[in-house]
Parts: sequence; structure tokens; C-alpha cells
Amino acid sequence: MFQKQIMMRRVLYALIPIAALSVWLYGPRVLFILATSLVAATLTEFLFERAKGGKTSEAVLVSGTLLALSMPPAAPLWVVALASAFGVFMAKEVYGGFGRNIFNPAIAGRLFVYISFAALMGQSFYQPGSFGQAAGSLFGQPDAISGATPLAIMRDGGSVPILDLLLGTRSGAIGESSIVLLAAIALYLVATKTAQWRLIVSTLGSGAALCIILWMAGVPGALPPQSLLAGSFVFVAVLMSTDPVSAPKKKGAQWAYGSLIGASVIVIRSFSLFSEGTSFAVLLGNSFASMFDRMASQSAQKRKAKTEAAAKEAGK
Amino acid sequence: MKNSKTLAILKDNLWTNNPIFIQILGICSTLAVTNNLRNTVVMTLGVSFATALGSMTLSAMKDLIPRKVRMIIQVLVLSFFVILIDILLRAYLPEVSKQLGPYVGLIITNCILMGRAEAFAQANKPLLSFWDGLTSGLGYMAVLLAIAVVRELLGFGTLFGLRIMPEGFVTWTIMIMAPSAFFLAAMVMWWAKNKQAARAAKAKAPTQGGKA
Amino acid sequence: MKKESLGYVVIFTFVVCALFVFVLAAANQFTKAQATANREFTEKAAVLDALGIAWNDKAQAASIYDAQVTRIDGSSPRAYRSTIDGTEYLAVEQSGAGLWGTITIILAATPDAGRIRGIQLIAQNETPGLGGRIGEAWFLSQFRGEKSDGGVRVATGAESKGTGDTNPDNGVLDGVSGASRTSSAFEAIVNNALKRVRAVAGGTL
Repeated sequence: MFQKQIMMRRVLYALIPIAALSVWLYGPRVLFILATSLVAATLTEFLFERAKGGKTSEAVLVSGTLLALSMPPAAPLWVVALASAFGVFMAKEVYGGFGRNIFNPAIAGRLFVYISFAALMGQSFYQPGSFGQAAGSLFGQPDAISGATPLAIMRDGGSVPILDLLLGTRSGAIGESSIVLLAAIALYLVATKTAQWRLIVSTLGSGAALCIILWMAGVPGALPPQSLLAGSFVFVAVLMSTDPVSAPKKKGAQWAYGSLIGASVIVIRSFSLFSEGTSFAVLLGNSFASMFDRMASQSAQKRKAKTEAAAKEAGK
Repeated sequence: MKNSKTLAILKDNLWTNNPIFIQILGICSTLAVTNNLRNTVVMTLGVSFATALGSMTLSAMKDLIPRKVRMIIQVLVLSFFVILIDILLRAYLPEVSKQLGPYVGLIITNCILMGRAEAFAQANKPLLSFWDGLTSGLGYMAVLLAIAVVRELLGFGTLFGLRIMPEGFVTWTIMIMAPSAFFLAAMVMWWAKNKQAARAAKAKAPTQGGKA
Repeated sequence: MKKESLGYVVIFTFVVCALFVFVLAAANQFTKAQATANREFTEKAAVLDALGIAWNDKAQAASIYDAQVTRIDGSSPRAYRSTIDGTEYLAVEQSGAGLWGTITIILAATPDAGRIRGIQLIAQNETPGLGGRIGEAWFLSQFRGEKSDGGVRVATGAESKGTGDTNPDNGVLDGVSGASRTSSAFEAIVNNALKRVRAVAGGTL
């Protein structure tokens, strides 16, 4: 039924540990979210591809998983299904399916429901730990919803233990929390050439640089450097900005793309009403990706022409 | 003969050459007013009347207008009708006028008005131009109403301000904001173009059946 | 005269402009009385609503207004004085910047501005469905009877339930969710209006 895609399979393998950890953090509910997202995404793509006579890609499984991992743990299942179907439909199928989409489907779906149901989503975070029992319930909606994600706490001037940030034992979206795990995944993806290291480094680097500059300069609204470990910044840098379809292909373009995403995240976090800006930043980057590619290949052509002209000159 | 032309214009403006999904005109107001059915109805009525009356007037005086000042005269006549609508609303429908506020004045920025004046009224008789303007407005209205039904229903859970959705319904904030009109207008265009392409293919099939 | 000659163009444009502008002016003149009557009725009804005085139709609103409300002479922007069940109230018109345009309200309060009697919205151009919801009943009615001697605060973000504050003694009200800038602008306008009430009570017009 699926079109076989080795790269997408590797991403899926890489996501298994995150999913496993998140079950421990938030309980079996995570599995329902994952299943809902996968079914909605696959079904949407299947219906469209059947009408067109194409094949369902394995990439849709990656999109569905990433979307589920970027949801808050108590997100209602209908919201997850809507996000997943919208993302695959509006951000992928209308552009012509796999390989032709401009925007990352998982991010588009996530943002659609985050804007539509801002209040609902904001109240869907809860404290992690012991299969969801830390929040008081093994299944379903936990009794105590504590909305304070580390970013919100830092915005209000509080601080969060760095160890919690590194290990991921802090409230947030399902799969975004454990920095240690994400680092391991990044190494695996880069080693197997599934993800471009340039994209990860440029996104993380520019974000970190801007965050530290703003913090040092004492700009009002700037967040402390440890905020880089909070929210979904690392998750997005490793798994979203590296999406091979929506990211640019040329070297120079990849540096520019990652830097744009990283810097936008910090600007949105520091100066806008939203506490998290990673989704907006990725979409912004997506819309510039092909332009960066074009600029990179044009400047490469120019350089080539120049060296050829120089060689000709020398040959005379 | 006359009758068939009238029908042809109607079909053209409502479907084959619809101002929104084929000519892509009047998109700004599609984004601005469609989150609420009542405003949509008044806005589209306003556009229909302004286009119909403007086209008729311009067609009646077309032989007198020098080419050099053609556009200036068109803007003058069209804005005349827009201001007239504004004055009448303020006097006789103050509530609606207050609700619509700046939108009435914005009718003049709707490209359909100038579009019909340039494309049709210049070369046709006044009554036919009136009909053309009116049906263009109706084609615009049909699409906007369809979009507004979805946006108001999901964004507020109401239709014409009446509660439709059950109590626990979570409203979709994005439907109230302009971006959702982009999605929905795009979907309408996609649907209509597909439909038209399918029909064209069907119409071609009997004559070219052997070649396919 | 030739149709494309300069003289014709100038005369034609002039005549057409004069003609259409004349018709518009005539229409404006003709509907002026009606439009003014509408405006006056809107104003009176808004003052009555702000003061919390019930009325049924146009004629009744006018007669109740004449009986119970007096406009304070020379006040600009407008200020009104009214006595309801033996208690004196002041109402003032107040404008201020919203997100997209000017927001104008009428606020009625006790002369010391210690408690708000009510607020009525006169004009606003906020985003329909977001900031525009400041005109909705749940938003405006939460101001009714609110304690306001230290000014009021319109809560935004997570603090606001977005359904209306029910405690009349905390001086805090719910903002419109998704419209924190409009909510804050509204808060500033209400607090300015409260200052004005105190000023009017002190004799400054």
C-alpha cells in the first residue's frame, strides 16, 4: 500500500524512542493521539492519491507522527484528527502530494489548530511523570491541568531546573521535551545522512546567538539562554527544519534557511504575544526555501562563469 | 435572440466567468466581510447595486465620454453610487450603517465595479449593462455567502447571529480571521475549476472520442 | 466641438462632476433631517442605556431622556447629569485610540467615580469577531456596578476567562480573548472616562 522510502523509515525509527519516553511521561493517552494522527493523515493522503492514481507515501507516516508529538498531551482527539487531516490536505495534497509541498504538513496542521483553539490548546498541558500518574490520572483527561510550560514560567521571570530541561521531565508538547534524546536522534539522522547537519547547526546556532545577544544587551522581553532548551526549539531544529522536501537543497541556501528559522524563533519568543514561535518560524523559512535555493545556484553560476573567464584569460 | 443573450450573461457571470473564482476580482472584501453573514449580505447587495447602476449610467453616456478621461469618469460615476448608498443607509437603516461602518465606503475599492465598467458597459446597451452588473454582483454574492456560512458557523457557531451549534461547541478562531477566507476561497476555486474542466472534457468526448 | 479636443474634455469633465456632485449634495440635504434625528436618537438611547434606564421605543426614549437626563451646558466632549431613585449620576462621552481606529463610549458613574453605573459603546472599528466583541452584551454588562475608585483593569491573556467577570467589587473585568490590544485600549478609555467624571463633578467641564 505504501511507497517504500528508506529515508522516511529511518526518521520513523528515530522517533520510536521519543514516543516511548512520552508514554512514560504522559501515559497511554499519547498512544491514542499517535494513532488518531496517523490514521487521519494516512486516510487523507490515501483518498487523494487514489483519486489521482498515485501511491500513498511513507512520508505521511512521518508527518502524522511528528504532528502527534507536537501536540499538547491532553489535546482532544478530534483536534488531533483535524490538525492531521488539514496538514496533509492543505499543505501537501493540494500542492500535488509528496515531494511537491512547499510547507511542512505537520507544522501547518499544528498551527491551524493552535490558532483556532488557542485557549483549548493552552489548557492541554500537564505535569509529566510515571505514565501520566504525576498529573493524577493514567487515562484520559488528567484532573489537574497545569498550563505553566517552562517558556511561560521564564516569561514571567521564573526559572526551571536545567536538569529537568535536559531530561525532558517538564511540561510541554508530547515529544519536544528531552534534549538528551533529541541530541542522540540528531546524531543518528546525520550519521545515516537522513538529515542535513547544516540545517540543524544553522538553526540552533543562529537562535542561540540571537538569544544570547538580546539577553546580554538587556533587551526587555528577552529570555535567558536556558530558554533555548525549553519549548520546541531543539525538536524543531532536529526534526522539522531538516524535512528534506520543504528545506532547500543547496549548501548556502541551507545555511540561510536555518539561520532565518533560528532567528525568527527568538524574535517571536521575545517580542510577540505568543510565548512559542517555532511553528511560525518554520513556515516562514519554508516560504523562502526555494528562493534561497535559486539565489545559491545563481551565485554558483556567476562564480563558475568568472573562473571560466579567468581561465580563458590565463590561457591566452 | 435578446433573451438568449440575457441568459448567456447570467450564466457567464454566475458560473463560467464568475468574478471570484475565475476572474479573481473582489478578493479583498472576500477576506474582510465574510466572517459574518449579515455583513456579507449587505456588502454584496451594495456591490450588486453599485455595479448595476454604475454600469448602466456609464453605458448610457459612453458615446459622450472622451477616451482621455474615461477612467476618471468611471471612478466618478461609481463612487457617486457608493456614496449614495452610504447616505441612504445612514438615513434609513442607521443600525446597518453603524455595523458596516467603513465597509460601505470600501465598495468602491472592489475591482468588480471597474472591471465590468471597462469590460462590458463600454461596448453594450444600458439595460444589458445593468443586467451584466447585477448578475456579476450575484455571482460575487453566491461565492461570498457560501464562504460566510462556513466561517460564521465554525467561527461563532451561529448563522445570521442565531445559535446553530450546540452549547459545548468549540469555536474555530481562525475562521474569524482573514486567513481562513484564503483557504476557503481557494477551495471554492479548486472545486469550480475541477467541475468546469470535467464538464469541458465531457463535452469534447463525443467528437474526439476516437483520439483519446 | 470634437470629442477628443481639449475644450470638450474640460467642459465635459466639469459638467459631469458638477452634475453628480449636485445630486449627491441634494440627497445629503434631503436626508439630513432624518440622519440627524437618527443620530440624536442613538445618542439619547446610548445615554439611557449607560445609565441603566429602560425604554421601549423611540418616542418613549425621547420623553424619558427629557424628563430624567440633562446635558451639562458647555461640556465638551458631552457630559450628562441624571438622578435615578434619588441618587445622582454623571455620564460622560469618552474617545480613545483602539487597535484600528477610535473607540467612543459613554460611561455613567457616581460623581466620585467610585462605582460604574454602566457603559455603552458608541463607535468602534475593531476587528470584527475579535476586538469588535467589545460591543457584545457580556463584555459591556460586566462593567455594570463595578467598583472603580482605584480605576479598573481589563484582564488579558490566560487571566481572562473571556466570558465576563462576575465579581463587582474587584475592579477587574474579563478582556476579549484573542484581542488583548483592544482590551487594553478599552481599559485606558474607561479609566480616562472615570477621571473625567471626577473632573466634571469638581466643576471642570
